[in-house]
Amino acid sequence: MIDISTLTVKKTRKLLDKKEIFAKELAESCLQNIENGNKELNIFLEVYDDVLKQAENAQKIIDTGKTSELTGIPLAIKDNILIKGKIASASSKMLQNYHAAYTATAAQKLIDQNIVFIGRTNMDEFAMGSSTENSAFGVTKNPCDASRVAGGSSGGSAAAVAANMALGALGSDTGGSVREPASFCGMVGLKPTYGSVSRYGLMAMGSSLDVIGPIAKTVADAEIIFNAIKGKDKFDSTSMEGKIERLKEGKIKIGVPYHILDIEGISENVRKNFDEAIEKFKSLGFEIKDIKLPNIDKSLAVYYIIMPAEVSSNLARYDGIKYGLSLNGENLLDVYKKTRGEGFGEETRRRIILGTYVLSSGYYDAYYGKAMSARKIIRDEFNGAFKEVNAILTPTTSSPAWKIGEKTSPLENYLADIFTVTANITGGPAISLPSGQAETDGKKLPLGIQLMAPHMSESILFEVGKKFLEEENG
Amino acid sequence: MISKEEIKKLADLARINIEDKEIENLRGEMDAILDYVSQVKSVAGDMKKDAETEGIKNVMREDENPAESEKYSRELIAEFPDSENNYLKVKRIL
Repeated sequence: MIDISTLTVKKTRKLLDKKEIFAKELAESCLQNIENGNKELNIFLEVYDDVLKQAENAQKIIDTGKTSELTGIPLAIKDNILIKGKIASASSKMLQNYHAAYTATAAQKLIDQNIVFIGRTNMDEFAMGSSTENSAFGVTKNPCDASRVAGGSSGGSAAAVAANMALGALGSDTGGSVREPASFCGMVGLKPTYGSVSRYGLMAMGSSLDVIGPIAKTVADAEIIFNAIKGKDKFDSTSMEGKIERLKEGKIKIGVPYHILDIEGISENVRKNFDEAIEKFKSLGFEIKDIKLPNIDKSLAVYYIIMPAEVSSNLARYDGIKYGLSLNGENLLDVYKKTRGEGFGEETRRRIILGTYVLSSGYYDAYYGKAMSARKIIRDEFNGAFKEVNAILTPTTSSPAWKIGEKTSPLENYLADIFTVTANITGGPAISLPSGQAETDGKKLPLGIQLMAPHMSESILFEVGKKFLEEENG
Repeated sequence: MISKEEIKKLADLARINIEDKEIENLRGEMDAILDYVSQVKSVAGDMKKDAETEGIKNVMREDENPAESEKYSRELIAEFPDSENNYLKVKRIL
């Protein structure tokens, strides 16, 4: 059996091409790790029955020597991204038996490179949550400490990579759903620029915020997967081709909005770890600049208006008529109400009702209208800041992974997104990098830092990230 | 505090059956959330009314079928909760 823990996508490519390992034994090793760990950790909702066949097909390509960067690489996919013929349930009872009628563009681009999709991973229902505790199919446990959450909503995807069940994974990020679980599991998570990756075939949550992004062990691996899935797509009119921004010569400036670190609720170990990260950046030759983003602390409030508003519209499609769960009722209205009442979990119902409230007449101007104006102000503030600095640094989360069941009120859960939602509000790219560990109850819990860059400047995040993690080039 | 009737009305508008016990819980939770998000009213700066559309442009395309006819029909029909002769079957509306 191959020891997946020692492999990265980049390293595996070389081994596969040199025939030192084979796609099938690589896939078998992932399946063995799933066999050993999935029952306890609840990472995969389904392991595909054609994994070995996919691996054999990939091997045929490898044998011809015409490989792409990801040929034969085993990847996991979040349960809200469609692959034709396979179940995609968004971890909801509503879609428990739904078979996708078509394939998402991002998934298709990976299939075109003959990757091996291992299976679909657990998540918060319809991507609403930060811990996978909102999954209809049970919580995913953190591979670093099984008494704690793996983060969310892409918790299964992050845990799959951390538990050596795949070499990388696709997640989706609406308010931090790739970065926060990556940080909780000690992985790298990229939220690309809005529109840089097609949303076609991604179940819509907040359409002005959603983006598909990779979770991987290294920045180089995240970059490889991102390059494979990005690009303009005729099936998503908001998608676009990015022009590659390179860093200019000279000292790279990283802005730190120190003023937001004084807000309540940042744990001591996160603050200490963050200060150490800043020192490391300085020692690597980066210039650290104190910057002001006066309204950044309002981002979360803006997010929790815009997101539920979009959720309430997007989830109207699940009505028990066309596909998915359908419960019989006395009349058509009764079918809708019964299906949606029972098919949606508690958090999903709450957000739909909240969204209905902020969009209803009489409250629209006070909430949604104000949130949209504030969104523009925050975006302008970031654009201003990026005239002075190349990237902006914050912690990814205010604490390491919490205990399963520890957070009881919805608002308490929402506050976990405080540092991550900003990039979804502005649309810019952001990456979470593993930055060390916090020792709690004798367990070492991963911590992460977040770098944000101007729109379409993922390359800046990759360059700075690789230096921070001291990844070798080549 | 948001009233029981308001929650009921919202759930009705959203076509969701909710139980009485949940309505009580939602009242407290919604109040806490709405109180928190009301911070947007204190955002400093020019709160323009047309911010929703500013800088956004329509993406136009030809009005044509993106895929050939019936390409996905079989898969879509297979997902119908109820059907008759390949037609989607629903409850009578009138």
